[in-house]
Amino acid sequence: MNAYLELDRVEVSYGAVQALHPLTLSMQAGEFFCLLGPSGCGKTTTLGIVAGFTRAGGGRVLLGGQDVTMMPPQQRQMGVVFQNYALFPHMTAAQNVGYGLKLRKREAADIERRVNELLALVRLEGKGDRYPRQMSGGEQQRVAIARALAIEPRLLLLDEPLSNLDARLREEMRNELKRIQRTTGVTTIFVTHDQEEAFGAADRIAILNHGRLEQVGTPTEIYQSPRSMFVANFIGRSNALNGTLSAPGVFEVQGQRFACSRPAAGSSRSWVLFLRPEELKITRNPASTNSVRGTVVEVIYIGAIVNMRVKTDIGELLAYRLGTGGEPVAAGDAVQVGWEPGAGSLLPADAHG
Amino acid sequence: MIGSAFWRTARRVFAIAFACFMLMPLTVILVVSFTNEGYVRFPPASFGLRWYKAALENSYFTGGFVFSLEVATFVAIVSGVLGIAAALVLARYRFRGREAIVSLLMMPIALPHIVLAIALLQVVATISVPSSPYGLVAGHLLITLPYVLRLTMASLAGIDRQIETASASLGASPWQTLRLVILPMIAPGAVAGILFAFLISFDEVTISLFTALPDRTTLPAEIFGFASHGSDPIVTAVSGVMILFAAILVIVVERFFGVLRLIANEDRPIE
Repeated sequence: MNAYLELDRVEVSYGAVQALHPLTLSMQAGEFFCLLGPSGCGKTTTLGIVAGFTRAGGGRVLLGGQDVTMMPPQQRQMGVVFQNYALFPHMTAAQNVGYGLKLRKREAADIERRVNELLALVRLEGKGDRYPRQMSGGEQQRVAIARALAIEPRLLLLDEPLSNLDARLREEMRNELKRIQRTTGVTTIFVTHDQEEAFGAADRIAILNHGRLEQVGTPTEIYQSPRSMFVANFIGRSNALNGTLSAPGVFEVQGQRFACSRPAAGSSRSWVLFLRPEELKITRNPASTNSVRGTVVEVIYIGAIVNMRVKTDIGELLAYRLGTGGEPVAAGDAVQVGWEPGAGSLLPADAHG
Repeated sequence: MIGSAFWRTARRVFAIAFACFMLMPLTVILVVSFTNEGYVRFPPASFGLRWYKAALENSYFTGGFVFSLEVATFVAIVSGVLGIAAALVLARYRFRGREAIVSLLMMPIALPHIVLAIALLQVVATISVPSSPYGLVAGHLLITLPYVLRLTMASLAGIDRQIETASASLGASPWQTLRLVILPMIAPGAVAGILFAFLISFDEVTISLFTALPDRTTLPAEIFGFASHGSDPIVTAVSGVMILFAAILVIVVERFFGVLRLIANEDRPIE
């Protein structure tokens, strides 16, 4: 299967600052793809390249096999939803949605039918004659999505579309976006700095940092097998253990030796083992192959899970346990912290990020 | 503590006093203009439309009124076109000398009109054909352009650049974006600027006096000429007409402009 959108060694620099190092990415038709990273990581720049707002300093952008690198944005037929929606304030919701169709010289009746269809899709039936200032943030967001979809875009580009909404609305709109994307089947790129949004919405995620691509994969791949220090630190919570591989399958931390069956890619003197808090088992007696003694510092009951901080010889460790079942543990208790040899991710300590 | 009732009363008193201060001269002129006597005195001894009739039959005043209308209309249109075009460039692009150009264009507001008038007289006398109103129009443009420029630039500053980007992504050429998005959005500011330009040109005396043509001059210059020769009540009637004219214009445009402002200028969402 050929890729629908391909970025081929695309790069951008502003003066001496390299905003985007040569980036190669490809997306399949119909995919919900997410660009995730902290601010300044190059995700918005990448979106700008795809939309045609940002000029690539090198490389090519291929859309459906066609080279669009130099094509101006008005010819690309891409639906863009901006962070602040960028609705036209002097037009009603219906006029906003119909704008792209009017530019395409569609017949008035045709435009009206399509606008009503789209307003229904984003659940704004009957609100077409409202002006943006008469609508709530969530409603404006829906208008912006309908406007972007009206032109039957070859790609739907969403630039931090949820960050101006309050927490409750954000989750609702995220599910709406997924529903709309599934209904229309439009290939979508979603830019965000919020990993929960990315994991909740995307089929695949690309993680960017300092203008470089760190990793591309499904949410599961990225969470379970981070391939760089940055990704391991950025995604979710981890316990980072610095150590060495003193013998095959033996990971040594501050003189203590642990069995480790994770493959060590590459050669390095020092390594970091990233253990997710839910991979750690807290027991009274040693129960796993690997275990260290420790004292419980703090127990926080969140509901679904219990967070426990345990002080051990190899540092303080964070462990999660389901809120129900298991032996009750309180601060001050002497416990064993254990994990399986196959748990965690092993990364060379000198990897960038 | 002084209660809020006190401040409410104080505010009201101040507002009324201020309105009186602003409206008093206009009221006096309007009242006096309806005198039936042959001299100016407040309050008039008797009322009538005698001087309005005289003013309408006076070809200096009717001619001046028509000429003022022509000049003001022309000046408003030209300063509108030039001011909007200049504002689009100056608000959108950063280039060397941009600040200097803005300052230069705004300067006539700060310069005394008499200085501009004398300078213009010199220039016009050197280069212009004496029987053409170029000097007058140029002088008016100098002082009206800053209003259009400033008000339009202020409107443009309120437009988020992403709105233009959004328009482009939906398939609009830069020209279509200008016509369908930017111009409607800056319309309230630009219309206000053009209205100011019209009124300023219509009211202007100093430049008009200095650059007046031998046969035609503006209404304010005619009034000035009459008033400096004596206190004929006819000038109060002409002034009354001017006040009425300006008031009608402001009310009409405020109606239109108020509606426009409602649509375009307040894009804050209602939460």
